[in-house]
Amino acid sequence: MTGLRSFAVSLAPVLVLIAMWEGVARSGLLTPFLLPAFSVVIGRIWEDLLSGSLASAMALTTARALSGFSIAAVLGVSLGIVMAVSGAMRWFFDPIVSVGFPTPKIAFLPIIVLWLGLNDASVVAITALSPFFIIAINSHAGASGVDKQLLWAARSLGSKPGELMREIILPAATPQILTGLQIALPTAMIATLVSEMLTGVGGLGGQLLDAQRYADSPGLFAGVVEIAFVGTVLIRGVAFGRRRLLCWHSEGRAGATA
Amino acid sequence: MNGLPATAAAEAAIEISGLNFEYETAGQQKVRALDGIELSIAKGEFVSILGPSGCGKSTLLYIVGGFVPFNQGSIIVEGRPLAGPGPDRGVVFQQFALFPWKTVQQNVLYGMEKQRVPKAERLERAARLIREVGLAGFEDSFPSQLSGGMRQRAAIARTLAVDPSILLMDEPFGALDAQTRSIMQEQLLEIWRSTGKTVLFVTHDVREAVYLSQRVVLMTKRPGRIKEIVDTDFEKGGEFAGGKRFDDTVEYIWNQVKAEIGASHG
Repeated sequence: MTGLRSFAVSLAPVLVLIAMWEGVARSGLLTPFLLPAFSVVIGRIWEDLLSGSLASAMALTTARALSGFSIAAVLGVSLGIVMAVSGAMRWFFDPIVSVGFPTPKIAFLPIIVLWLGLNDASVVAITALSPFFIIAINSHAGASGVDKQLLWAARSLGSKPGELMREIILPAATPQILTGLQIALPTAMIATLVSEMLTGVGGLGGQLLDAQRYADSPGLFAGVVEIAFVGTVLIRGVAFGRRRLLCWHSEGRAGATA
Repeated sequence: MNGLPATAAAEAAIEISGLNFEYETAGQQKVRALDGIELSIAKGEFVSILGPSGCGKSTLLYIVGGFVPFNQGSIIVEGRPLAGPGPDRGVVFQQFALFPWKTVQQNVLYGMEKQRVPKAERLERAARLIREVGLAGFEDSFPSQLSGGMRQRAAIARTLAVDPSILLMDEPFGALDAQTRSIMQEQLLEIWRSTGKTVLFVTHDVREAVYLSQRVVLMTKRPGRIKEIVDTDFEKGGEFAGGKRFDDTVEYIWNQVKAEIGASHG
């Protein structure tokens, strides 16, 4: 019950915002074209839901976002840990990561489209590239920040140096690796949507682009609400996974939110 | 007071001679942390290392643990030259160094898994050790759910599980409150008496060193040298009710330590 109540309380500010939106739209201060009422937008979402177009667009966008993000997670975590363990790998990749991290990855989209074409592959590729560096940097920091006494304890209990990676470094770095993944997920979502909008390959971003072309203002607002919904669900999902994985961590039991 | 037991040479657990240790600071300057350490510890002996902070006493312990490579000298552990860390030397850290993602039981089992102890024996030994350190009922708790004292008990159980013949303890009770500390000291003495393990114990607490150990190694400020070895192997009533000889020894050592601290400020 308390969980339900705290959920209701956390929802209140959103409801206030929606009420203000509805109020301003109905007051006549702005034309319905500039600001359609929330109720109209909900009606539009409902229509899309019934026609099945919402479900297919959401599924497409979510699938692209998650496949790109998964690729970034596997490669980024691996690179981060390898850089923490090997001086040679750190020497080679450190400058690349330093340049890659602050560069807006969406700038690579035209090149990726040039190589892969206007299709799913391009969207997934840019979605994988965007969060990759954040994930690698956090994994590197987590793996290189492991308390050396944990490694000593393991060694004195009989671990071989080669066993430390899987048995000590990886689990000890897990909280920070997960932090990196949590920070990176919205980046992946942005890349998916922007690339959908720029390449016109459907999905929620593609719908938004269509709504803009046809001057369909309820469609634009409906698109934003739908995107906010998908983003929130995905972020909550990752936060839930974090709590499950970190049941040993004091933060996991405190019920930290994303 | 610098007398080794007569049989030390024949039955030494740890034999340190001519040990120097230098490290490089960020500015590439060489700093000598340990200088000409000569120390022989007999099998089954309880020896404390005491000195002002920064004297290198923990470094000495971790060198014997095999974690920190040294520059010059030799260390023989039970007849063999020191070569890296190993389960013959169990280490107890001030900050416990428990694996936070493992439960108490999984922490205690870890070393035995590495030693390929058969599963049934592993579980049986873990259960017994957890009971002996007073953590029965907390087998499935994670370290973050335990108090400092309970964490250190779990860490001691984890170390004892691989049955090391030597215990290297780095201010193991330094992070505990006075009551817990005193209970833990009693338990350590009991473990030492019943198992006959060799204990090398680093502390900055004079009373603790005199109460627990048979000899107290006093170190100078950096570069750490052995200033004096004080024989503390006599009957003691308790840490705070030790009798005249106990109090005199504590006072004597205190004055030596104070002189060292004073010297480092002068």
